[in-house]
Amino acid sequence: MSKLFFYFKMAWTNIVKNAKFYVPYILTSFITITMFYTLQSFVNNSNLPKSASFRQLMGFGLPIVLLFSAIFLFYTNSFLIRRRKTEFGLFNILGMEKRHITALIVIETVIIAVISLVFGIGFGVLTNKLLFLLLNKIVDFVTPLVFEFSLPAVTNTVCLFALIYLAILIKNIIEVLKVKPIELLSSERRGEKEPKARWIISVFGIVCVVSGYLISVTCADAYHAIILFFVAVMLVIVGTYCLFMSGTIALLKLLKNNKDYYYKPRHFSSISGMLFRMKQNGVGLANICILSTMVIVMIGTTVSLYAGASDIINTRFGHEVVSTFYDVNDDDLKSQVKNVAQNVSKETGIGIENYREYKTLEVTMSAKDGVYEVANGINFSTMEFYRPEDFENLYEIKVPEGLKPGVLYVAASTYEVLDTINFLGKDFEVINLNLSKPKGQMSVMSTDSCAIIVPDEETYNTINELQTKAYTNAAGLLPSIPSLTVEFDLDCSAEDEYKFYDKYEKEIVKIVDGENASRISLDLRQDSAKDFAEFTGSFLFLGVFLGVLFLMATVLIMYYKQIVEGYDDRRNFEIMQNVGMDKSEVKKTISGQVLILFFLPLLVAFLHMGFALPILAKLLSAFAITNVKLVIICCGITCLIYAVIYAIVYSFTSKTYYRIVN
Amino acid sequence: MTLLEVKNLQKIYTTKSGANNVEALKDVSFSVEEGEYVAIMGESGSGKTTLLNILASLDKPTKGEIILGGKKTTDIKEKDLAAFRRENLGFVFQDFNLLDTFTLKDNIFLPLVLSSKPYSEMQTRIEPLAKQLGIEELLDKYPFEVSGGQKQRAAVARALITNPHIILLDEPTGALDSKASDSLLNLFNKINEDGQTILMVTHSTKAASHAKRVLFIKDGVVFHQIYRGDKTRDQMYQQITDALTTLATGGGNVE
Repeated sequence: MSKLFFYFKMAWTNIVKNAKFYVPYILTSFITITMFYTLQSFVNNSNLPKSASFRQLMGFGLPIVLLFSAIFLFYTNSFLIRRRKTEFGLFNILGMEKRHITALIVIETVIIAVISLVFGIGFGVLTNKLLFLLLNKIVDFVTPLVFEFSLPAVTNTVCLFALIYLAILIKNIIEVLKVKPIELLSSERRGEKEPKARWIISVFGIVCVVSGYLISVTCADAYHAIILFFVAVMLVIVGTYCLFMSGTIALLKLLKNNKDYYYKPRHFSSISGMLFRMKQNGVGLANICILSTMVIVMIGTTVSLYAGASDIINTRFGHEVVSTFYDVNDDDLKSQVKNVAQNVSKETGIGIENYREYKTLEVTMSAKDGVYEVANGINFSTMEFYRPEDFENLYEIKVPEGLKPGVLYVAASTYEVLDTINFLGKDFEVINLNLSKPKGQMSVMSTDSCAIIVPDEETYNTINELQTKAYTNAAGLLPSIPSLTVEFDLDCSAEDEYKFYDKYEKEIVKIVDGENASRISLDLRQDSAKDFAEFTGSFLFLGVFLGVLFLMATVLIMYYKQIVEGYDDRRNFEIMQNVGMDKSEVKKTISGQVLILFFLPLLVAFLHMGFALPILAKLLSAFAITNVKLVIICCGITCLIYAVIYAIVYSFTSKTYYRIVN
Repeated sequence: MTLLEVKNLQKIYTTKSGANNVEALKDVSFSVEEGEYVAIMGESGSGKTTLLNILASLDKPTKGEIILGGKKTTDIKEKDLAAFRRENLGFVFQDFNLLDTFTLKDNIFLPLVLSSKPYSEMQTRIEPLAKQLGIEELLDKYPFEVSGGQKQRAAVARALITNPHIILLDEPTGALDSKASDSLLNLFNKINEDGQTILMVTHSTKAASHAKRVLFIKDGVVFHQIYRGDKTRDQMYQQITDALTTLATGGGNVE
């Protein structure tokens, strides 16, 4: 019993003595546990409907948080154990057997795990209520969140993190047992050769980054943005690692070979110092850079999405009530729907405004030199076919009189349509009218789109038959179906809209009845808006949440780096002073290097962000966010806030650093 | 001509509370002539390291003054001290104090670079020096790639490259094996014969026996001194041993 107590006391003293290393480690554990518990408690919240997009998004975030927590904890632990090895070596030489040391490590880990879990979950529970209030503010929930204490969330968190600690413990024990005491004791830093400049890798890195940038800058539309985004991201990540690991070294070598530049008081120790620092820190700096970029991109885009939510709703829904019917050919439908709307209006006393109805056939094709074929993955082009009266209804533009039957009239287009086109094997004469810009929901996939007026029923049917036949035969593709859209606004309060809408919905379903019910889509704008707001709000929350996690990781990496370097630099600092360098000069030189090391990743992250903007804007346009200025402002503000936090972290960690060095 | 004059040096280390004042140097006075080779001996705690630190202007005395080449070093302002040290003093330390991130050549250049000398001048200065010290072949190597003796030669080159008035050696053979020690000590004699003034702090009798004069410090005062004169090194060695014995047994003034 007293023996156990002794171990406990020793383990506790060890942790307190190494506070400089253990406090950040425990803090990391504590924060990651709090975050994980918080997400888990959202997922387990019984008041939320299963289908809520918030719950689904949080569930999506859960494994990410867990994975990153594990990685961070392992990473911080590796700093710890490296420093502690000497200490364990001393214990061993003083007569502690390996099993005693193992026991000590086990107890230390248990202490840390218990402290982190108790405080982490405790803090999670305490802040949970506050977070719920906050969330109800930013996220316009369909079903408001209600706070509850979730026991399964607690047990889940405890179990999963206990597993992580166990894995870390095993790793530490193996590492300490593997090493011979004499090796544990010899802490003397062994010299190392200057790193070699690897030109091929540096050039490869430049090529990767530049081509990633080029993809972003030249990306033409949302479709390409979706396909190429990850390619560009991978290229830039690979390039960043190459450049940080060998590009910087190659550059420094170049400077060093210039004798007159190198042998100057200001450059001399900086260049050679940086050379060795880059060798040790290249990977770490690249990590920081990539993490920073991720934080900025994630928060920037989610903020843009959140801020642009109302734009999206207005683009998607032109009117308050939108009903679309597919594959219903009879003209009766139009009057039937109109009757229903009018009857419901009379019954409820709610007036109908801006009533409009139009039929359309929307086909996505692959187009080249006037030849339109079944969509095959390149040169997507959307074609919307309208009868003249439908076009007039939708675009609210008069169609000229005397259109010739059999001719296709291009009323609106993003590109110049040729005079004769070949549509799935049949030639058509084309006349460009240029009445308007293409409207409505241009397909996300398409580069180009055009609205075509078909004057006569026969040609309209021919086109429909052609595409039905072609797409029915094409593997994995479905033919388009002509649709009738009826949309209108209501002159009442948002709450009364439901009164109208519920009745309207019932009656409409009756018309199309039973089997056809799946071919209608009915939307009340405010409903969709709420769903969408919940989605964007949850997305923002998750973005910020993960952003904070990554930010913490970045801060932690920087902190440990500074400490480790501080210990390494202390000796160099002394020597330089002995040889006749001023204390202030030494400080200037070292702080210059630290400054570069610290802010280089941030600058590169900003550069990445800047070049990512074009492709991000295109990606967001897939969500109907077309306000590029908004995206730039959101990302710019994110960068600014990030830079401020970064600078605060810098001033804090560099203080610790100078305390060590002096 | 007198190059270095040390007058009534006193150094008291005070603790914060002021309760435990330690008098490291009580009253030290001596002078070094130009071209001399002086060794200072003493046991641990005798105050020799304190003396060296003060001579190197790394530390300030509580009382007394030091005059180097006619200039009072105790009066030099803090911000000019580094430059003064760099230009007038050369240092060789027990543990070499070479920077791991520099080649030997760059380590040797360090003081010149700090004084903003042009690269061409550095080159002309290092060539004869490297030849004299026998490290010509090693200049592009890093400290971890060469032996202790070679490291110390590089450190000596770094001390000499600024043509200082005096070089201060702090236990220069402390980390070397006997063969490397011998060859380094012979090297110091050669440098001294060329006119370089040397002041060495050591507790190695063998190292001290190479000097022209040996000062003994005990309890913060210069207790005794021996001139080499015409004595052979063995005789000198014997005399130093005797002196040390007397010092250790607490006898009065010898001679």
